[in-house]
Amino acid sequence: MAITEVRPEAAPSGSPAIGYQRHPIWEWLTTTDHKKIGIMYLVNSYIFFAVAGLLAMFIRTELAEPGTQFFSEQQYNELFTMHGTTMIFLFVIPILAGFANYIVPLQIGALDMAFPRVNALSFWMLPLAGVILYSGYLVGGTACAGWTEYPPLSEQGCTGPGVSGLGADLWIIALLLVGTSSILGAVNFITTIFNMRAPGMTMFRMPMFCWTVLVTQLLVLLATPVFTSALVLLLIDRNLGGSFFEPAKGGIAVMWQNIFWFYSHPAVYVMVLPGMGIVSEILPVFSRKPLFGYKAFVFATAGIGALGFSVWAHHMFATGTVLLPFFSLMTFLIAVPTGVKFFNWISTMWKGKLTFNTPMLFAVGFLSMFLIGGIDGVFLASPPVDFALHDTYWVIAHLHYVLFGGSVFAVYAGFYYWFPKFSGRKLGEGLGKLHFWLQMIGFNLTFFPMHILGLLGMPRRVQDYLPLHDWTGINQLETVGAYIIAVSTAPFLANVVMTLRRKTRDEENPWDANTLEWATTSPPPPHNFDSLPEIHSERPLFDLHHADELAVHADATTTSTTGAH
Amino acid sequence: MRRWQEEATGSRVRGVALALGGTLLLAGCAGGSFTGATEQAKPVHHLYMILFVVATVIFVLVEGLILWAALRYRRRDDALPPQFHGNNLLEFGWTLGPLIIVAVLFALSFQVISKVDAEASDPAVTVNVTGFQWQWEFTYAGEKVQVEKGQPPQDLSVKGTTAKPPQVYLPVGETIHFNEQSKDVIHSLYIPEFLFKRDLIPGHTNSFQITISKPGVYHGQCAQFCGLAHSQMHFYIHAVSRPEYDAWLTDQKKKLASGCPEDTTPGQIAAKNTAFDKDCLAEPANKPFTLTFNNQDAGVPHNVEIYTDKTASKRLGGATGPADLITGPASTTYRVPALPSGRYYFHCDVHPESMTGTLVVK
Repeated sequence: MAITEVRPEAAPSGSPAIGYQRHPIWEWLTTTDHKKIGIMYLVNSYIFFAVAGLLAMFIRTELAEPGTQFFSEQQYNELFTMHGTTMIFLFVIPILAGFANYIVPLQIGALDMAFPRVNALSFWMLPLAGVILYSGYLVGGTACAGWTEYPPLSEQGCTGPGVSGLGADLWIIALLLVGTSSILGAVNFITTIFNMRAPGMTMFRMPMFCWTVLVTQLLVLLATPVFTSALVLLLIDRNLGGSFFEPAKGGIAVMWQNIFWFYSHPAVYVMVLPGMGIVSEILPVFSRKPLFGYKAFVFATAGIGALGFSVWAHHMFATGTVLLPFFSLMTFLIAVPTGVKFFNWISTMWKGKLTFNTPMLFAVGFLSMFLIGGIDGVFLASPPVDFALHDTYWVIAHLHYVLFGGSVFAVYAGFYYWFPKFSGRKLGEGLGKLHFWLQMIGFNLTFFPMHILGLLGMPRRVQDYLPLHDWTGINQLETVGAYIIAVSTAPFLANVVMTLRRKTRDEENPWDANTLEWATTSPPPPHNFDSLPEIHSERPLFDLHHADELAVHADATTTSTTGAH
Repeated sequence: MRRWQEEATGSRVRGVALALGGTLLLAGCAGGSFTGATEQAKPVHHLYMILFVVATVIFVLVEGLILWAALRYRRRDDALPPQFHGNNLLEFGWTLGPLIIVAVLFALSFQVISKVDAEASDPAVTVNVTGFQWQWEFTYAGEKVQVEKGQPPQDLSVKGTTAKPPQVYLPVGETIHFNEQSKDVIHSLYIPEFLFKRDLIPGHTNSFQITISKPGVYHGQCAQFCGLAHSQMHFYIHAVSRPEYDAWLTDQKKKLASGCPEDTTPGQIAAKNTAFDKDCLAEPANKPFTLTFNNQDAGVPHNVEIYTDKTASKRLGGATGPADLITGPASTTYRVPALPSGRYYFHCDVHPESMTGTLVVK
């Protein structure tokens, strides 16, 4: 096996460090190393996940009984607005970008991202955006019109005791920062993937995670500028007397919804596709088989990305202002490539040799839960059924099965899977499994009954509800479930702390994984690789380690769709 | 030992699967409890049931395959499993299969859209709904009431407050046409048992028609988040027979024409959630009276100001002016000078659009 020398000048490990030593804190604050930036993305996003999760606990606590117990209407409206905004813009999207930051350059055999300083800038905008968003609590109230901030409500601002209305402007500015960060990140990822692949790493030999990141970042690049322009229009309406969305002055209220969802629906795929990529990395490794239908998977990912731009108005069926058949058909169609992925994932496990370490548990958890989010979404694709279910708790159930059952399970799967890469140590299996099962039970207890609440007509975003049709009992069950989810993060955090404090290190490639990020040390050196193996397929390390078996199974690989040659 | 642990994990997987399947079925049964109380809702419920059956079959099949693969193919030795990379025929099959399923579901949905959105040219009753923060006004087009001498008759309307949601009467078995408008932000008229909602959008009129098939009282509320008291935007539709509906109309008209039909506690008014608890006050003519105002909105200033008419040009009593406000929770008593019999207008100077009402002096 020939070895490609990528850094012949790289100092052998153990030799004195070149250049001057900086204080570790200064080093982290000024780093342009994609791995350190990736870790900061992960930590920053997880902190916001915890904050938004705490807000969710407050929401569920208020909803455990009809009437007002703990939070006034104004406080409650701020809670769900901040919960949604934080989870989407400061947790799901950036944490997946964090994985991409750390993993993509390693998986394609690159030394770093294409634009390391832009990369650092993209990251540092996020904590700033978070601080601006939450500073609303210091100046008389945060944004309070929901994470969708529909005008004219968002233009009117919040009304209530001691409410300044400044919160919505802070929300706009924070999201302008997040949007700019995303756009810069997209340019960076796309350039990196197109231009910085190692010799032999053709597009169709890239790990599936890289493909999902590429499609995701194309979506970001095309959709996010549209959204940031809408944010500027809203800012003008609110502060400079504009009338883009204000019907009283000749504007069009639903125009915001069209622009907002033109971004925010593709954004759903931005939040899910990299998760699918993570799962597509984990399933083959823990099944000891290649990903089934690699090219079909690439086309399905691209198909979801393309169709994702023509389904936005399914969020607007009840407005009575959109072409129902077109958007309904497109929405139904997007179920097809998603279905293709499911069958490919199952076939990847089929006749494999499965081991259920924590990453695999979370990956299979993703399959089981995201399936429900896919199926209950099909109901909403049908306009007449959507008339009944839109803006009820059915939608809350659906979006959490997609974003929690999907993205969060995938994020944890990726975290358990790549933690040995980040730190050189595997997270504990016992605590990991405890975390998984608690989260699985809590999640389903919280969100499954929401389907029933939706069918019984409970609208979303209500601080209070009538004691009707047993709504109370179902709400209480959900509140208990939510507390179990909160408890489930304790074993996770304990696991991380205990593992990091452990002196002993695990082997470099503890999962016997096959992609390039495992071809270097764990954690990798600043320049990532001292040497790279030859790349003949999407599994270079498998080719390296299993040359004998490959010969035996030559008949199977000749029909390969991966184009190995 | 290791094998035993894996078996235990397997049985837990099975347990969760059973629990999940059970709850899914439960959801289907719950869906059956609202079978659609209008003619338009019946095909929607039918469509929902078809979707539910298809969804359940797909869920059981795919979840079953996932769990089967997870349990059946657990690692039992170190030999490398066969390394197959894909199969184009299978890919084609599981692209085409779902494509056919969603095409059929779309075709069924498409048919139901035309039924739900159909509008007859000669509806029996036309109701104009206006949404505002945070209540509803239902106006019966063409049902004229002489509310004021010398003024043209107005359409009969039922307007609610958050404390007192409107009770709207409609005849069963007849086509009812709704026109929807909003005064401020976007609202959505949602009646769960009609399996229907449609947004009320400022600057745009939406319409739809329903034919209620069963008599009863149907709860409705706003489904589109519209600000502070969104959760208090309830209303009730009383679906009654034609004779009962006619009797209700006659009764309402009589009450409206005679003045204030609903003021059972004269001399008192309260504000909560930036709304008055009543939209009319009845007082005796030609003698001074007092008005006790109870502001229940913590931290929000309100007042009650009486004017000759809606233009609010001439102040007659109540608060001494726009600066005379009380911040809740607090109470005050206004002295109002003697007024000749007639209809007057009152509002809160801080919220002149949303907090308004009529003072009837006779």
